[in-house]
Amino acid sequence: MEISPENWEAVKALFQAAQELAPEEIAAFLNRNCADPSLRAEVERLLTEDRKAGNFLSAPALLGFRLNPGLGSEQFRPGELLAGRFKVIRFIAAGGMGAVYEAEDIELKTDRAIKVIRPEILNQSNAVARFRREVRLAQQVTHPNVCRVFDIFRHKSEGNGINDLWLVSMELLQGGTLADRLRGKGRMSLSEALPLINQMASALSAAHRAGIVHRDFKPGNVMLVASEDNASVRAVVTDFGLAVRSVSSAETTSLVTGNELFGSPAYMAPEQIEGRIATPASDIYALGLVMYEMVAGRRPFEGDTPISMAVKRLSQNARSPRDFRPELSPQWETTILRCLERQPAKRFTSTQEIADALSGQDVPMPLAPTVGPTVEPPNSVEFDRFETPKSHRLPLWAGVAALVFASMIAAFWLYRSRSSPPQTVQFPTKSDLHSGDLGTSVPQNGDTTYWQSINPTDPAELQQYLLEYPNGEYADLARTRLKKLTTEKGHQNNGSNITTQTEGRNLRGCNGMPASRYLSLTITSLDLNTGVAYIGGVDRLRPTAMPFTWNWGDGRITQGWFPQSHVYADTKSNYVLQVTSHENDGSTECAWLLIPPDEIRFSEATREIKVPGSQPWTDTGVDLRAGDTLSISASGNVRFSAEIPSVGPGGDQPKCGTNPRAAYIAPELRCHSLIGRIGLSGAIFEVGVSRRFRASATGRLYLGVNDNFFPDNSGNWTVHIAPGSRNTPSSNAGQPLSIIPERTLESDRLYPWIAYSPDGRLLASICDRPVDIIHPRPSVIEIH
Amino acid sequence: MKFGPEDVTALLSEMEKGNQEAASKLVPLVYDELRRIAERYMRLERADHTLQATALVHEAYLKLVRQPSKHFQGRMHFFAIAANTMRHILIDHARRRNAQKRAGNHKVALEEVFNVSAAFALNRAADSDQSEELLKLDSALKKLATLDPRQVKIVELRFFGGLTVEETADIVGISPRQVKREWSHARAWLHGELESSRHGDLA
Repeated sequence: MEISPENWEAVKALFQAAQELAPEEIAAFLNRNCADPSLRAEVERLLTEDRKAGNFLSAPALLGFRLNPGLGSEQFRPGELLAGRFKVIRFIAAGGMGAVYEAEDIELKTDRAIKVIRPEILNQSNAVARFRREVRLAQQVTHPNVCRVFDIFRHKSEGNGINDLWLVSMELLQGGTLADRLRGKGRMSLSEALPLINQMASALSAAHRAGIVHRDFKPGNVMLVASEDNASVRAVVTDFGLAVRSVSSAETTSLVTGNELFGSPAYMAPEQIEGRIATPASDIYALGLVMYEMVAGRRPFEGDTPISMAVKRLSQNARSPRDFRPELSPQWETTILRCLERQPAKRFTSTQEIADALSGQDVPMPLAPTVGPTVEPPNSVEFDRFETPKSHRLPLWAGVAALVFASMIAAFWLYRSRSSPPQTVQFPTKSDLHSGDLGTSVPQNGDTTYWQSINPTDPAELQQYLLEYPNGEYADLARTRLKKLTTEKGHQNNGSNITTQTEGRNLRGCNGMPASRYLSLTITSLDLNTGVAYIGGVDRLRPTAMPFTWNWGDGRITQGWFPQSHVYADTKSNYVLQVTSHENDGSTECAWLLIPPDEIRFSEATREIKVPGSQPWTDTGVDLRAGDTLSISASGNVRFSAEIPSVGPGGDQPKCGTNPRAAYIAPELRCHSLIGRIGLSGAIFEVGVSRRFRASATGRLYLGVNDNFFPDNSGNWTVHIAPGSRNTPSSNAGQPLSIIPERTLESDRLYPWIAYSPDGRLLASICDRPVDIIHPRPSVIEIH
Repeated sequence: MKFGPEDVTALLSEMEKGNQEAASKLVPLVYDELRRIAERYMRLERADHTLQATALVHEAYLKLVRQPSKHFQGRMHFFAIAANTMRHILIDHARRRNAQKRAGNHKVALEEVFNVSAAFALNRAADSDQSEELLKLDSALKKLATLDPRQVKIVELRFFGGLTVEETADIVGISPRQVKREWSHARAWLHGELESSRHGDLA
């Protein structure tokens, strides 16, 4: 049966409405709403099809494709002779590199494990040479906790030799893997875990000393071998087959396949995921993940796929294993979490240190300041809500922070910074630096340069840095193992009376880490001309999205900027300004500044924003509170790819016509449960028309084409957003804060939000997915 | 022309700026990468592994872009392209398989690695020919595109891209509930199309 395009929408609407009815109500519904017999027949036909469809299309297409179980696993039968020397006894397992068999060496009359390398791994140029080198390296490691690698052999097959297979003979180990153990019996007692961890650390240590990075350390690569009397278990790390020599050897740079994803995504360190060179620190990260799994019984990052877990590791710090095993001592907790630091330089510098840390020996923290004066800021502000033992504090100048961006303002700032004369920087030439050391230098002109040392033991980090700054002052600094953070003009120190440092008891570090481990922030200066606040130790100074006016209460007024989306409110209705630092290696740190609300006046400038027709929406960066007003005018033309059959996100509102020159304002769609459904009422405006809006709920302002087939559109609008009045929240000082779901603060740093608590106060939340924050505001955003 | 990972980032950001040429350049890159990863999965992973479309797409994205957290909008675009690409890969495979079957050659390149399970991808009768069904689904989708392009996009994202209702909603820009309603309607209609073509074959 063919249906005309005109009838399609009508049939669809009837079908969808009928579907929500009980079966016995449908006939009556169609009697009432569908007079046309042919339409009705079509609706009924579709309803029948829907019933008959069963689970048609219900599973993704690729779920139907299962791997061929015969492939790449059991290739050889018992009794077959490999390379003329090894008689297959049984198939043991198949792994990433190939299948492993138990076989008898008929020359030496001894049993060996034989790994048959998958041919496709070795079919690239140089691969065999690389493989030989790897085996030669692995041969050098003789350690009770490292699986011995003996030799390689070529297994001839028929034909011209192209299909020859490479075999590796290895120590035959009887037992299961650590992965089997964890799958079978779950997490371990600490007394079971500790000796295994010590042995694994020792194994990796031996390999690292030989110049080998495992690169694919995981529970599946650890064999647990019981002693003869079953009294103890030996952990043996296998499969150094993927290892390539660490970068310290010049010869091996060509062996580093920087763009290949080697190893198991589930256990890769962040730098490996990003395609950077794996170092011993990457193995330490993997060991941290394994330790976590051993004692907590789960992985620190959960996701549907190894890849999604891997992605989380790039942007989040691990939850404390104590969340899952509260009786775990702080010693275990800090040891594991330090292995899982996203920056390689912050991890332990050797696996041996892990064993030391677990046994209670002191291991120096890489951030421990050993050089440079501590700048005690004048009038430093203390907040009694955040009291923390002094000993936990890091020096005020130790922060490496950059204010979160706003592109337009950033462009302005770039212009400003280019116009200032270049600085001649004098920097310390310390040879005894520790990784991450921070310091200052103050030459004659009074300017202060902040710098940080680059991990001297990590050539990869230096290399990475030099890639970013191949020449010039920064590169010179890097070669002396220093990274310049910022230079602060001497005469601009006058803003330092808002210098502060807070450590959160209620608020936590933005990635779930205890804030006290990371917080250290100084606003070193304020540029009174531009209103830009400088944060001590910033390597890329960036002003933030929102201009604000700071009233000191003594007649002085200071202009500044901060992103409203990063302003939270605490129990006293103070604002907490979150400062997020995005470092070169992709990691993030946070700090907070407390600001009493009555000291803030918002003053928004008119913004001009380009809205591409080919995007579903464009983030204006403007966060609205309920009651805020603004006016929006737009001009320009977008060419639409097709007539728009219906308009509006959500689709649950009455149709707004078929005018393709429409735009909508919608809140951020990422946090569905926070914002609820999107209403369009009154939100459509024509291009070229200026209208005034009032937000009836809180959310970010988005502008976009009102078209679901956005990628095919072309052209842009230019939209001007002029400020209206801002609805300042009433003071709720002294009332207890009822809801801050902690997990929202531990969630992804990327999508900060403001929500209201049930009694109307602001709540902070950072989320990358729908979160359950209950708020009493209307769930439909209306912009009048 | 050879593209590296940086180019993908550049193309995605061009796309965000409205450059349509960027999208057409991106598709072959995504295509190659998805194929390569799929084949690698087939060969390297454990026998009990089921190929996950989303894992494939995530990995392709990761390999091509390397900046997973910074390009949110880009990633959404990317998923839409990847789902569409996945459709082409599977349809292409089905078409070649059919052609080779007609030529009397039953060995098909991809089938050496894919062992198609009995409960086949479309979840329809086990005796029907999967590649035939995929081709019919494809032509039904082409017909649907003239009636309701948005539904085609939803089917691509859900069925070929393996995305959830919520992810699909994000990309298409409608509510999850509306995705479900559109999906249900599209599914009923497509089922009817495949059924009628099936009966047509028998007649």
